[in-house]
Amino acid sequence: MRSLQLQRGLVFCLACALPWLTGCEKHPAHSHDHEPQELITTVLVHVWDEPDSVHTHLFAFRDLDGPGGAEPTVDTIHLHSDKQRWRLRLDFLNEAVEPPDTITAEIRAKGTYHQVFYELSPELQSMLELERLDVDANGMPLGLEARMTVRQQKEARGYLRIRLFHYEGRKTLEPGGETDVDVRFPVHVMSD
Amino acid sequence: MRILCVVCLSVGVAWALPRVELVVRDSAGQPIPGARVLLDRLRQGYVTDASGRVVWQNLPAGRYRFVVSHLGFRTYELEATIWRDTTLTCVLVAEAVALPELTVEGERESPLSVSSVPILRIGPRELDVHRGQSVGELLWMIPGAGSIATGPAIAKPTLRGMTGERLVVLSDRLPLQGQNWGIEHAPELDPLLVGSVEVLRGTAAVQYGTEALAGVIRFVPASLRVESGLRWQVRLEGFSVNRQGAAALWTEGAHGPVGWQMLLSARRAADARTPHYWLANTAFEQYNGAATVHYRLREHTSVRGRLQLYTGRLGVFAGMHLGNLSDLERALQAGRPLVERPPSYEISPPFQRIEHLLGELVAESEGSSAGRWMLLFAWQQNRRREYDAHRLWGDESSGRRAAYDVTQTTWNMRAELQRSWLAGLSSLALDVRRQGNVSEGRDRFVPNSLSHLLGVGVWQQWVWGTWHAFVGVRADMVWLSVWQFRGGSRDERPHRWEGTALSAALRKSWRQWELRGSIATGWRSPNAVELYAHGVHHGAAILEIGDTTLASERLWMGELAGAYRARSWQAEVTAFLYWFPRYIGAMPTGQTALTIRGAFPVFSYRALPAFIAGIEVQLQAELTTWLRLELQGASLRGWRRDDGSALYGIPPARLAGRLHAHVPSAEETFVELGCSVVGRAQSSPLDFAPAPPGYVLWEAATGLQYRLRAGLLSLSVHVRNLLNRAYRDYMSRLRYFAEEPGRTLALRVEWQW
Repeated sequence: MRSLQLQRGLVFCLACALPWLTGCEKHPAHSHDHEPQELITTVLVHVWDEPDSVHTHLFAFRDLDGPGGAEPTVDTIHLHSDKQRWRLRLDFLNEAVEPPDTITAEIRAKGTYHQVFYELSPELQSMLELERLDVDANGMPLGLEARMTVRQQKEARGYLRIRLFHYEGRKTLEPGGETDVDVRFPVHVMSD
Repeated sequence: MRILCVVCLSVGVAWALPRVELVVRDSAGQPIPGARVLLDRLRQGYVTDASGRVVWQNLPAGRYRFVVSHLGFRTYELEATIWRDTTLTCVLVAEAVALPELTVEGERESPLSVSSVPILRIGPRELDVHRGQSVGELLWMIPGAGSIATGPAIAKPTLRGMTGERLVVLSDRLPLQGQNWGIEHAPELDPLLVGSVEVLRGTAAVQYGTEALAGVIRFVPASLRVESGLRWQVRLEGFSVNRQGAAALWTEGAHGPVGWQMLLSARRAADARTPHYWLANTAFEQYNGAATVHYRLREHTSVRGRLQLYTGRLGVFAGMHLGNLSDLERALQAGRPLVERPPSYEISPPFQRIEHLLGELVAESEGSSAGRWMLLFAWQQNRRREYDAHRLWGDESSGRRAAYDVTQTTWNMRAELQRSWLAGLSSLALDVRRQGNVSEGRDRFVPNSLSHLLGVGVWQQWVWGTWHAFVGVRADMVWLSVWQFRGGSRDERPHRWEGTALSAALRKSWRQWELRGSIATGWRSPNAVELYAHGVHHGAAILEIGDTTLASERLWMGELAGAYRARSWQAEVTAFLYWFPRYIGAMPTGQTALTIRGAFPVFSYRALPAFIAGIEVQLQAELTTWLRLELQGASLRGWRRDDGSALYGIPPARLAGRLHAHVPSAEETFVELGCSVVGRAQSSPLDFAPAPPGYVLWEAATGLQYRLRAGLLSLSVHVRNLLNRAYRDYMSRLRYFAEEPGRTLALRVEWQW
């Protein structure tokens, strides 16, 4: 009798342990997934003199390894104050994938959910003026393209803050929704 | 009548030990009121109340013979050794009907009753009236217990200010293994699946392992029927605050030695309403199923198998998702949600999609000559996908991809053995656990990992007259392997920890007084998040960084309690102190990290010395045969030892009272009025905003029961936040962005036949 009980117990234990031994779940060491991808790694600012659009200058904010890794690299935007009007165009890229992915077209296509805001540091506000040029399908500002007008010819240093917002509901003229991008470019206005 | 008074006391939260409850039912499962119960050792007779129960508080330990008789039924005799909290169910068989011999529904002694510390219970009747929208809400009547909420559907249980991997949450006998690290990760269990709740406060690391530092919360399914026949129950619930409807179908039956039980439930809710606005995207839906089969091998030996499935889509309040710190500051300054929309059942991102599948096999023997033993094997798989408000760029064609997608698979084996030895009761528990995490989401906040745990605990209990002593020791070993992506390949990093837990307790009863004290030490290993977290937590707008060199967390606890139990009232006061030489938490570093989304404050996981201290009180008074007063309260403080600053997430002081009036002969017909007073919590430097001010909430409930020829019909109405007060709760993550839901009318209908 006791032997029969023992056998039953052993069969029960083995039946229960079998799935464990065979292991029917994904093994943590053998995930077939790819390396994680960042959403937006790079903001490019294309700058050119409006009357003379042949020469375009490129300034970048890059954070290829995401939050918490190496510090982002940021270019300083250099402007000549003798030029009265500068044009700006933004590009948002994912450079963590090969080939790099351009996200700007998608932002433009979903323009009714997005808006770019430009903000100058106090020391630049009196000598530079920023105006967004493009609009979405509803006629609301989009901000992927802008014009910067120089009001005073003197040297100054400050920063330009560029923010991209994603609106869940109705887009307004105020910053709102969720912040997708929030970067600051150092700006050096040269008096020549 | 005085006995009836005492019996009524057992309906609410009870703590007396040893406490014996005898339930007398007929073969259809209906209670038999007026049955005579003779307890031979006390030479006294008792009569069951309207619910077919007799309750003895503070029954001296020993072996007793219970003789149960009632006109028209066969007399039944039952012998049982009583040395701790016990519930016996006795099924009487009608004289004129030839049915199998009457059976005893396995003595449903709580498995938590493994020390001198009393178990706090919320019984089925209490739950039926106050059952909320999530299992976390079931705990509000227990002093010291509560929940951290992230909207109406997400509530994570807390005990003495601790949660996650400092608290064991049992689904019957099995530790629920969800993804315990996140405060927005609630237990995957529908409240309709819960028959009763038991709470063991205080460190129980000897009995339940490294995660039972705060204690153990056990959600107990309805007990299995063992007498032949079939029983059905339909339950419908409705909640006004979010237009929620819930339905459950429950059936059970038995044939010979086989008993079975099955439950299906569904729940769907729209956005919740506060006194001033709707909470956008707090809609949710849940579907659950559970099936249990029980096979009685011998009189005291049985095997039980259970399969349980939870699946849910839970909306996360749209105003809570943050891109960066500026978004948080803007939300804090706004005063009301930045996102508002008309109420809807639609669940859009951000939301959680959760599936939890659980299977277990339990073999146990109670009362045999070899003592009591239990063997449990279980498998659980928890898949949690969390979708951000923002879609993945360039992912339009392949559809949405979850930002967080982690599958956790856990195997558990637990063996328990109890037998008389060394003039007392000896217990042994062996735990083996294997747990794997595979992360497949867009973000890799949690690395892939595989852990193994082996733990052995032994403890001994003695009862000498009015003295009860407990002493126990446990050793655990934990192995953890973590795989990380580096340069296109995965690196494996192994870790190992080992530690011991000790516990000792002494209890002395003296007339109506009881005094007890206990000391315990326990530990836990750091988890993969605390070691390897690296990323932005968008719910909190912080950058969390793990520390791979973290040592294990260590805790010492001391507790002192006194109770007084008169015939018509009882009171208890408990004071405790937890001392953590190493308390692991995410602490601010004072640095900020620059990212493409702006600057984020950097928090790193560190182990620092800390204290948590508190006091809990409880009072129950049977004012008349039909009127009962219940009061319970808790006050808690937690602080770091190095700089004296407050710990984050310690609940504010709370006092809750309830006046309950019922028809003396039918407790199911009742009216009650309750009030909760909540103070202001400690302000922590880890917090973004000051703790919200305290508040007072009123509630009311009424219920009745009809016995129809076709079955039993129960109706109840419960109103929470009766005065529709606008308030913010410290233990709710909504508090930064919005008010808590307003007046909630809950209507429940239950029909069983």
